[in-house]
Amino acid sequence: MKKKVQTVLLALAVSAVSCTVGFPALAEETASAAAGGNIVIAETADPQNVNPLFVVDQTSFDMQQALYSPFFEIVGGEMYYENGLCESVTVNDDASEFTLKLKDGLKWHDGEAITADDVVFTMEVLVDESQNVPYASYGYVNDTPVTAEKVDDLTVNLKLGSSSAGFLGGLSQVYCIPKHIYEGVANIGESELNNTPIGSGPFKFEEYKSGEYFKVVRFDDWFNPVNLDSITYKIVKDSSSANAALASGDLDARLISADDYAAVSSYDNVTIYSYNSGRVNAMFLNELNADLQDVSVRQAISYALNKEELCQFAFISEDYADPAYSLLTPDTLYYTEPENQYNNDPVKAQELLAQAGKTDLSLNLMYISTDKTMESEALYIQSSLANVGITINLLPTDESTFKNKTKDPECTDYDLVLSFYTLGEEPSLYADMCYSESRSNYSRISDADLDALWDKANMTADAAERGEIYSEIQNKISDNMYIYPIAYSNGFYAVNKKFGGFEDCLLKTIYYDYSKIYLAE
Amino acid sequence: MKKVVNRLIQCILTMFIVSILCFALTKAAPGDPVLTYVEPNMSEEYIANLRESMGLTKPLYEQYFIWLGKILQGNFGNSLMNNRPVLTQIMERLPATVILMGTSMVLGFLIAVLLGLYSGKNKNGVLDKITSLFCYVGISIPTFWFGIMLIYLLSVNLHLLPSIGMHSEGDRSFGDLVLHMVMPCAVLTFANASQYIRYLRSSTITEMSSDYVTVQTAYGMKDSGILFHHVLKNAMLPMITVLGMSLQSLVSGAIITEQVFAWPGIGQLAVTAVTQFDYPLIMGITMFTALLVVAGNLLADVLYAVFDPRIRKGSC
Repeated sequence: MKKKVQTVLLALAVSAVSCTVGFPALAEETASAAAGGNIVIAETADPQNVNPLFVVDQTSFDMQQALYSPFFEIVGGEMYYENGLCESVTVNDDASEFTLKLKDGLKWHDGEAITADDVVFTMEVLVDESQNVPYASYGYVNDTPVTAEKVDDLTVNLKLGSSSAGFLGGLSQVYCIPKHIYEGVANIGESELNNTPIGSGPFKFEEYKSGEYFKVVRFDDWFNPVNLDSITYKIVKDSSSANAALASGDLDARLISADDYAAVSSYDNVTIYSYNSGRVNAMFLNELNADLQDVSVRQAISYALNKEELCQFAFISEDYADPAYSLLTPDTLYYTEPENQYNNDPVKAQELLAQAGKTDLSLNLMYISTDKTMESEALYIQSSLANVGITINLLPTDESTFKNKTKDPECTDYDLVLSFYTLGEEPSLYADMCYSESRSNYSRISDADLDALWDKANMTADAAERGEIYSEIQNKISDNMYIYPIAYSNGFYAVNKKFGGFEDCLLKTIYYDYSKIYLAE
Repeated sequence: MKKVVNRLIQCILTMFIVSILCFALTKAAPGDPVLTYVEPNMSEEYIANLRESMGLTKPLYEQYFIWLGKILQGNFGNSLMNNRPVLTQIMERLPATVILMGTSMVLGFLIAVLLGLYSGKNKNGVLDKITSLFCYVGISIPTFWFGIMLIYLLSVNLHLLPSIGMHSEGDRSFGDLVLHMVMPCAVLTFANASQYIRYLRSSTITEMSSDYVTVQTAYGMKDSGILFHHVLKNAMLPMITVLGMSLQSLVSGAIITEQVFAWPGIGQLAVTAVTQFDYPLIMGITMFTALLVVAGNLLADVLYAVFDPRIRKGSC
């Protein structure tokens, strides 16, 4: 007997902490809204590829959310269909078969109907090896591709090779692409068709001027009301200039960092929306370094650091970030605080180092040189570890080299590395950060037991049992100090006061619903 | 004519050497360009395919000759970031950079001619001292700071000018372009003029002590006539070298100024290419810039001959 996935996820979410979107008192909505208007949003780079199956950069990701609608979203552990193409998703008892039911009357931006054929085509492209889709793993369960079958024009049945309770988490990040546009294209990722995207979202593509802007206009046939006439994504690389443009009114909105908060909050015409960014800042301990293969050394490093002080130092105010103790964010399903929190204890740290025979350690700490938060984290860590006899050599690195080194599974240039990740609310997605063969496993952890636990959790349908496994995973990572979580940082969206609707726009971690933004009267 | 042909051959040889250096340095840069595009969910097969499709599995010399052969046909390859042709992207950004850099160079030159000549003629006078102060400030002041200060003064506080970009939303008129150009152009003109004035002042002082100036003065020629008809022509020689060397900036752009004012020129494109390790784009922009440097030097040589008959007649 099938039942609504919404019910399943509600049950699964018993232990989950709901997504919290916090807004300052300043951010009260204006009472009434005027139809139309254009908002100018700052982006720091040109988009690389807005085709949602091939998006790999933040700018394209932001634009993609205006251009394409997801199948559904998962908000606070619950299925959320309002912005999605799906009306419902049903699952069989062992979570090996999922049925997607599309809303009626959906249209692509060129007026063609969105049907089950598009969903089947998208799922086929996703797992087509010749297409090299970066998100292909969302279409596989236990190395077996998911098969999609059309039931009727609005219904698609997805069959998995085996049970996967985490499948929906991945599917929520897959966006449908139009079959009538891309059918027969050998290399969709590199197709010129991506330069004039035909999407399914609240806004359709209008114009792109390299280095200047990317403009989208309202899609009147979208399934929900859309307030604004258009959105202009303006390319502004320099943050000081972007702040000045925000103050002068040449820009209407931009994401700001904690460093910008004080300056931007002084602008009379701007409101800052603070929201749960879902981001985890962490330090990874590279086990390719022989010294760091010793768990005592890794634990000693943790005891030597005062996490609250580190957060305060790096994020300026405790309002901007909370100390992190788990690999998962608090709003991820089955989040639990690990039992061992490594409260600051330099004496114990020195004992552990002496016990390991590593009293004269020297480690290289790599971070992105242009990231002020990382720089502060690095300086604090250098100073704290010096107190227990560990010498830290700072390796500020440009972003490109940083990416190169962290993605190279054999790189030994760094011993410690500062990074961050945003993976949403589905816990299985966090395996990327510490699964043996994963490229985001910056600590180069190789723990077969841990891998087995990730696999088991993903294939377990029973909520309570699954919760226990994820709790075990979080404790195991903490006990072994594979990764040192630093902070759950907030995101800040600075918006001109003439625009409203941002409470609804920033409805969850990494997604935006641009249809909700309006020009206040 | 023979000299021009010889210089052209030298230019071609220079470009060939530059192409080797450009290719070798890019290849020697740390890191694997493929890894820049690797995402956590990409499989090993995908990465291997990517490496092959980028032509990185071939021997280096083969990669070089393939690249050189394509460049000679005007094909600079496709950007790794967005898969768009490199040449198309350079051409898209070229007008913005040329219009900004060209205007600031011309304005800087005109200001330099006026102030440089008068300062040189009235050495240690009041105008000379003011001009020297102007130059010291212009050379010392960081362009990003000056740019941001102008934005806060003229855009944020006085609301006189748009702060960023090249055009306003929905307005691509010439007047709107001029308004957007005022601040970035002022920043660059200030820097350029400060540099040019120093050269012109110095060579004017030298020329003013020449015999021909004394003779012209003795014949009763007006100061302005001596300055603009005689001194300027001779004082221009070092300026020709400076301007020739500056020609490449018409293409390479003013990276910092473009960043501060979000000006959609080649400077910004170059920064993005470097940070993303987009080596076809890096090499494309480098080759384009090198071509302009070589052309600038060639032009300077020709102009030397125009301004100095001794060079034209081969006596120097």
